[in-house]
Amino acid sequence: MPNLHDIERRINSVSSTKQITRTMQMVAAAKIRRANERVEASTPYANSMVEMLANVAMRVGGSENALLRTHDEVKNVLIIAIVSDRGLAGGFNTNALRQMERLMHEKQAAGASVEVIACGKKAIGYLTYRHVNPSLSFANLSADPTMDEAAQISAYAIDGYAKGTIDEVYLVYNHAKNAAEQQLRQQIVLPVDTSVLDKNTKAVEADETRLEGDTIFEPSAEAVLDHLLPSYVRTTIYQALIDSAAAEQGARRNAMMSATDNATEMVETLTRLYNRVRQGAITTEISEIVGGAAALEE
Amino acid sequence: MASFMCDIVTPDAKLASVEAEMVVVPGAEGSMGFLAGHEPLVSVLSDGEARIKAAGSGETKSYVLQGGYVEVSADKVIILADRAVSSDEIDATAVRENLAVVEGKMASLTAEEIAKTTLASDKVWYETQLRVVNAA
Repeated sequence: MPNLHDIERRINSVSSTKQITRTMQMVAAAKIRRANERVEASTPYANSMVEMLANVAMRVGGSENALLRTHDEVKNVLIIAIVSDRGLAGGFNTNALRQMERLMHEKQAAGASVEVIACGKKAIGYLTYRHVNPSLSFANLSADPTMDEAAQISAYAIDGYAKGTIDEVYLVYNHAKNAAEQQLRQQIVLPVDTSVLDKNTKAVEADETRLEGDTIFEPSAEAVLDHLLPSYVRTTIYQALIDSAAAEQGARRNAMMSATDNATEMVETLTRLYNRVRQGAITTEISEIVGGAAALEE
Repeated sequence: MASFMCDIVTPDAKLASVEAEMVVVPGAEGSMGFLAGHEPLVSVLSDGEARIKAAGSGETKSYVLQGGYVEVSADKVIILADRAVSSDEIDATAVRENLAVVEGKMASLTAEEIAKTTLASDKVWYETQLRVVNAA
């Protein structure tokens, strides 16, 4: 039987942990709102961008643009892994990093060499431990991703793709389905996936009222497309970054919520044990006294 | 006069959404003005100033844009820009200071290192702002 003092110490330690987890839960809950606002603010831009691109792509047809062309032989793959700077978010980081590793092995098995862009300290740490050198790494930005970060990543990817030093670019990140649920996503960025555009093209075609007559392109449809594609890639990456930031807060809130619940339960169990042990001690004491008194009487 | 909706959208936010009478944008091949009922058009924009004349009040507001596109459809003009700011909010002295900082940073880096950062586009952005403010 543990003694009273030990149990008391454990109760104290568990309740102070609970205080911390509850605070983190509330902080994350407050941050979810901010992160979601940012996602919403950027949605009109992304939507207009996709719509415009679909519109242009439909007109241009088989384009010669370097970013649309699939490379015949996939020798070099770039993976952009987006995770968080901090832990304590349940499976948030582990899931994304495992998926990244799976993709790496898959590509390596197919005979391609893989390089990684790491966004978030957890990704950097994970790679360093495995002696992989990230091509680019970003720390301290996971909670507040910037357009600059997305611009740097996309510049690197587009440059490599156009030069032929990169044949495929993938994004691995957590999508914030809603405040409580995260979904792991793996998305191909380059070559630009025209099937996504095709879907939108159909939507544009269906919406005929919006497209009366032929659209004029200036300077030309091809030139517009050449300008749009890099912006599209950058927007895709930026969207993934802010989406992941929102998912991170959601994941952290969930993790902290269950930690708080567990702590509450544990305190309850321990308090019950504490009371039982104390009662046991009192009973022992009384029976000793009674026993002593009885001995004296005789 | 007939009016239409004009939105200015950046990746960070929707900067403006106004009922406009006329919109003038810095097209890649020269300035273009749109009135209601314009043909559908998509164009690349050069860095510069866009002016929106609001319907009703007839008040003209000016915005500085970098790296943008404009899409004109039946009843709407959407301006997409990498960066945009209302001209009223530009503080010329602060912009000049920022420009000096950026130039200072660029001077200490090699061309290869600069290519990895966004300094070059920052520089263009500040210069564009100054150009517009000085022209006004």
